Parts: sequence; C-alpha cells; structure tokens
Amino acid sequence: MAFMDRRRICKFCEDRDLEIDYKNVKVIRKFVTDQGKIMPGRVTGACAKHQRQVTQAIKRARNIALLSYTGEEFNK
Amino acid sequence: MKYYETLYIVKSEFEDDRLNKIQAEVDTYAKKKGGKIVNSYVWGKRRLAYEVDKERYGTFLLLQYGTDNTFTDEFNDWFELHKSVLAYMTIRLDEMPEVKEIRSSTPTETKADSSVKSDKSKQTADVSF
Repeated sequence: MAFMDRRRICKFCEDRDLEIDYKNVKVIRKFVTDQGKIMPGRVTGACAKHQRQVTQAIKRARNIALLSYTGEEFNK
Repeated sequence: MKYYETLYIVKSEFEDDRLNKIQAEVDTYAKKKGGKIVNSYVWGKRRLAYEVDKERYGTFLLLQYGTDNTFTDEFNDWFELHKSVLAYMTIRLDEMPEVKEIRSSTPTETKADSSVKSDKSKQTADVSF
C-alpha cells in the first residue's frame, strides 16, 4: 500500500487528566502556530469536542494577554 | 447557584500590601453584590503576551465566586473604572471550583505555571504531534 494509515489520536482523549484550561498556557500554546493562528483539528489530531474546547481556551487566553493574537513578541 | 471566575491583572510593580488592598476591594464588591467567594488569591506575576496600557508585566489575581443573582455586567463596569486594574475577564464555570489553600507569599512566574500543574496532578505539557 502506498499510503500508511497515520491516524492521529486526540491527546485529550488519550490522557483524561489533561484538562483544557485557558490558564494552562503551556498546553494550549501547542495548538497555535508561530503566527498565533489556531491550528485546525486535522493537524492537531484533536477530536471535534476537544478541538472546540481548545479553541475557546485559546480565545480566552488571548483576551487576558496570556497568549498573543499575532504570535509576535513585542520588542524586548 | 452559578459559579464564575474572574482573572484580573494589576501592575507588576505593586507591593504586597497594595495588592492585598486591591484584592480586598474586589472581594468586598463581589460580596456586596451577593457573591459567595470560593477562592481569591494571587495567581502569579508573569510577562504579558502583548502590551496592556504600556505595561509588559502584570500580576494576575484570580477570584472564583458563586452567586444566584448574576452581576457580571456591573462587575465589568466596576473593573473598567478601577484605575489599578489593567485587564480583566470573567467566565462562567460549569461546576463549583475546588477550594484552594491561599499562599501567603506572592508567587513568581514559575510558581504560577506550577500551580496550574498541581491543579491537575498528572497534567504534562508534553503535547507533541
């Protein structure tokens, strides 16, 4: 077979203790690109339910200045 | 009873006594409006992802409370007029939050991260794709 089946498994389904929270920046940072864009579920492998929760957490974190909107750090 | 969580940022240069004063003001307002405070503590001092009122660092304070009569709009208006608060956000919680022990000292940036981790003991940041 030319293409191998590379099904991604949702990290949050795998590890039930991994809670999605806007304050947990270390986890949700993995779901945004360098530009600060939210990565699609097909790339992250998150299931639809958890992808929705991640999206909401990212938007909340952006609102309270925990995550950047643009991915750019301001000049140091 | 509905539960809410308000995270607000104050200037990082504020000392402990000034922080406590602001925290007490916020708590008093929430109580006055009929809120029952579950948790109120200094979450930590950290670098902001973008400048807020020309500030690059901020001290985050967290307030979790329950109430039967929602006053989030009034609370937001009150925060808007509060000069010491750089930014604030209130969210609705699905269930009652766990009661936490209040730390006496102000945690640093690293402590803020570890406090999140300790919430969910098995939580690891190793999410790789």
